[in-house]
Amino acid sequence: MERDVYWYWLNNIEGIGRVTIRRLLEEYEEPCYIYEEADSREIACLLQTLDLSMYEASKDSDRLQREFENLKKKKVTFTYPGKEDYPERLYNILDAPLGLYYKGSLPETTQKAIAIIGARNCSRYGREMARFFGRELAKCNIAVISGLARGIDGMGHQGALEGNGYTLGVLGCGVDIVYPTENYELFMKMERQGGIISESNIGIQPFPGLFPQRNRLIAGMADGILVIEATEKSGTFITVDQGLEQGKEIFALPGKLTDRSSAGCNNLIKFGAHLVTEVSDVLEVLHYKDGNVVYANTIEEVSDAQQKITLAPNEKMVYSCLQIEPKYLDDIIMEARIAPQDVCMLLNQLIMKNLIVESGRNYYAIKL
Amino acid sequence: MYNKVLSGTLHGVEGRLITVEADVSEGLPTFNMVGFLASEVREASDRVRTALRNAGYLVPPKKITVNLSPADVRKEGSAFDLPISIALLTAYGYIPEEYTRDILVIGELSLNGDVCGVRGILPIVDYAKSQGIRKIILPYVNRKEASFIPGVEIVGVKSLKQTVEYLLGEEDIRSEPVLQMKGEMEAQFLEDFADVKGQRILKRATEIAVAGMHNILYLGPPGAGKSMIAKRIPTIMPELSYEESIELTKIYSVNGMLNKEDGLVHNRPFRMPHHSITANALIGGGRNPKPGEISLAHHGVLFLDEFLEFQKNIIEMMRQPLEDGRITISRLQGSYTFPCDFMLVAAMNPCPCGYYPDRNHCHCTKPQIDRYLKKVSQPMLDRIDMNIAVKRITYEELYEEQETEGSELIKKRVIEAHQIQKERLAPYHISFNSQIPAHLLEEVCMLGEEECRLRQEAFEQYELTARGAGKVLRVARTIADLDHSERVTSNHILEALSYRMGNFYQGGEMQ
Repeated sequence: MERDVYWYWLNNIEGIGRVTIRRLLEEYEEPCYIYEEADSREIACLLQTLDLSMYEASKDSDRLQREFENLKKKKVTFTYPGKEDYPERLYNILDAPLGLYYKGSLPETTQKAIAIIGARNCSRYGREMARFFGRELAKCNIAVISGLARGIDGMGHQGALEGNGYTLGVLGCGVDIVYPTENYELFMKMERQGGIISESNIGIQPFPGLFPQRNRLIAGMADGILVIEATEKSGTFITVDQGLEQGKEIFALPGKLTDRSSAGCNNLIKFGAHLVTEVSDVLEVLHYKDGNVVYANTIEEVSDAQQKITLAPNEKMVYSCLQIEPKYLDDIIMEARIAPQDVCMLLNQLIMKNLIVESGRNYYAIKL
Repeated sequence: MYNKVLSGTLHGVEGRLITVEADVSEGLPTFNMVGFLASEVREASDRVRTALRNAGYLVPPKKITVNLSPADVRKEGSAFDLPISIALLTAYGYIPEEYTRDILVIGELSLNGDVCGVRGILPIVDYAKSQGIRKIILPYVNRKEASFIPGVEIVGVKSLKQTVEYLLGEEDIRSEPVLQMKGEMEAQFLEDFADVKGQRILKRATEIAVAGMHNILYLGPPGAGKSMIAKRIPTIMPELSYEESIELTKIYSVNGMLNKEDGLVHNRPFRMPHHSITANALIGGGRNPKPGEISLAHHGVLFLDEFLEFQKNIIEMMRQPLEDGRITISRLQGSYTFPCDFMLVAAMNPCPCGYYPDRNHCHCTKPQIDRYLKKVSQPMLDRIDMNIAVKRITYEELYEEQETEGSELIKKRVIEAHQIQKERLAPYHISFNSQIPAHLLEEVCMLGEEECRLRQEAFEQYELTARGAGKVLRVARTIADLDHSERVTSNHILEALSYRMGNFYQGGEMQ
């Protein structure tokens, strides 16, 4: 068998986790030695009885070959420490993964990477910000890494794709499983324009216990972590804690004090995270060491550029009533102080010009 | 000794004539009733016998046979008590036979001989008139609803004794004056659009919906005013015409829901059935079918609050009646057709808790919302042209000083729009924009080059379906009519896009 298959085998013995594998590797150095040469009595000293039976049962070279071929057929690549495509950043983290499955490509080691993370249940402000930062950072050649979940994660990826940059999704389940299913389209795009990686073998369903490990990978693959929106007790903080342990830079977007969904971010800032109001805030910190100066658009510039598209005076007036947070049609009518029919007409005109979106039934918001 | 008296019964919302024959002969004293009778009709024998005795008429024990013909029509209801008594008294010789000829008699008897009211008087009277009957004796409490049919002498009686004395010419009962009605009914509403504060867009959308008789779906949190505005829709509809009122009164008469003092339905109906309603109650039905809620909402508004809580299969039963404006119910005894030309107004919450997209209140997750919205019946949504979101109004809006438009003004605009539509659509044998079939849309909307381009752009931008695009055009046509514009312009289409029936949240995007 090939070396890859030996590694694949070692990573897929039921009941044997990273700690045991590490103990075995310390003793034997290479999986092939464990498979071929290890004396069963010696192994028995290193494993518990239950694991031992699993270990014995898993030594089925036909099955292993078949499974490994199946991986290739599904265009899933398997990598492990020591292999040339194994992400270099991961060597630096404690408890590094011993086997990784990915689709698409992995980020260049030289490319700076940022994790954009946050709550699944987020506001439209959060979504738009995640998208904005994803896009603008991607334009500045920063890889965007996240967990391909609902809410902020997905929007970060979305933004990076819009900015034609590289983006990597780290999953808590097999890379052939689209979870949540509503991200299907995004998932497919990312396979082509970026990568999808997981520590779990294909076919493994999402399971709550797998997500903290995934968060450790997100932190490990990135140089900095940007928290867009998170409540005080958000799972996002697992990633942040992991990042802090790994010595990564933490960035956070400030939010309103009354806004519970930003409370976590504000706390982070209080405890010393970088406060981010512009893309360049992130860039400066990331490029601090190499001294590269990259220009990034500010939010004002982007929205001003939108405004510059020629708008009729009344269109401009309605547009000025709108914000990132969606506003109900009647409130816009109140503010614009013109007839409801005219407001409807103007809003739909603006939608046609792609300047605003109807984010929910009769709720309108500007596009960034 | 044999005699017969005319009476009537109901078949759906139509009347039928029934001949009540009574024969008294020598033999063992019995009281036999024949003629395909329901049990409440059969019970009449006891009521009649007791009432006759208590009214002071001696009925010697003889063999009594009563037949209700035609024998193939099932007789239901208690309205045969009075005609049976009269037929018997004639057979016994109390009343000369010729005195009862060509008089139709309807009424229920109580044991002391009083005549009680019955339901379904108007259709019977209307039918009797068409059959050439000129005099009708009926319960005093029902006299009002019968008096709208000209050409028939209506005699309201309070007791059996009074009836007999009237027939004998001993007592003169002044026949009811015919209340000649023509043109329009005068509606009396307690509600008014001016009561609704704020909610400009909701009012505008509702006005458009009524102007084109488009079915509309309100989407909003509890307490936002969905029911409040729906209740006021009849106040901006044109007044009922006399013919429409008679049609409605018949339905209400059959269901025994008429206001006894008034007799006629004046207001366009607003029906708001609870979501626990059964199929029979909504569509109409029963062994001897009675009109359901959709028929009670005829010429008016059927409001389905908590649209998603209704049983899907029951909601979907309304598909065919919604399109045809009438419902045919087939039962063992025949099929019954009830009119049900109504405007459907539905209201639903946008998520299980009702507060989405207000994230301060709503913590529903996307899968929860998806699961909730999946309950909606797609075929029914296809039949609803307009959709508008409603939001709770703020304190400032509630108490703002600004004058709000009253129903009178809106109604005027609606009537004008209806008039324009009727004239334009007359060649196609339809009256409202909501009924324009897809193949006629192009012709009716008269789109220019610019509008066609806009339609194409909108089709792509809003990811409309062919059906969705058609609905937008129909609504745009109505907006143009409210605007007195002959052609549908870009502005009309753009406004109509705000009311389109689309995804409840755009492209799966959550806030």
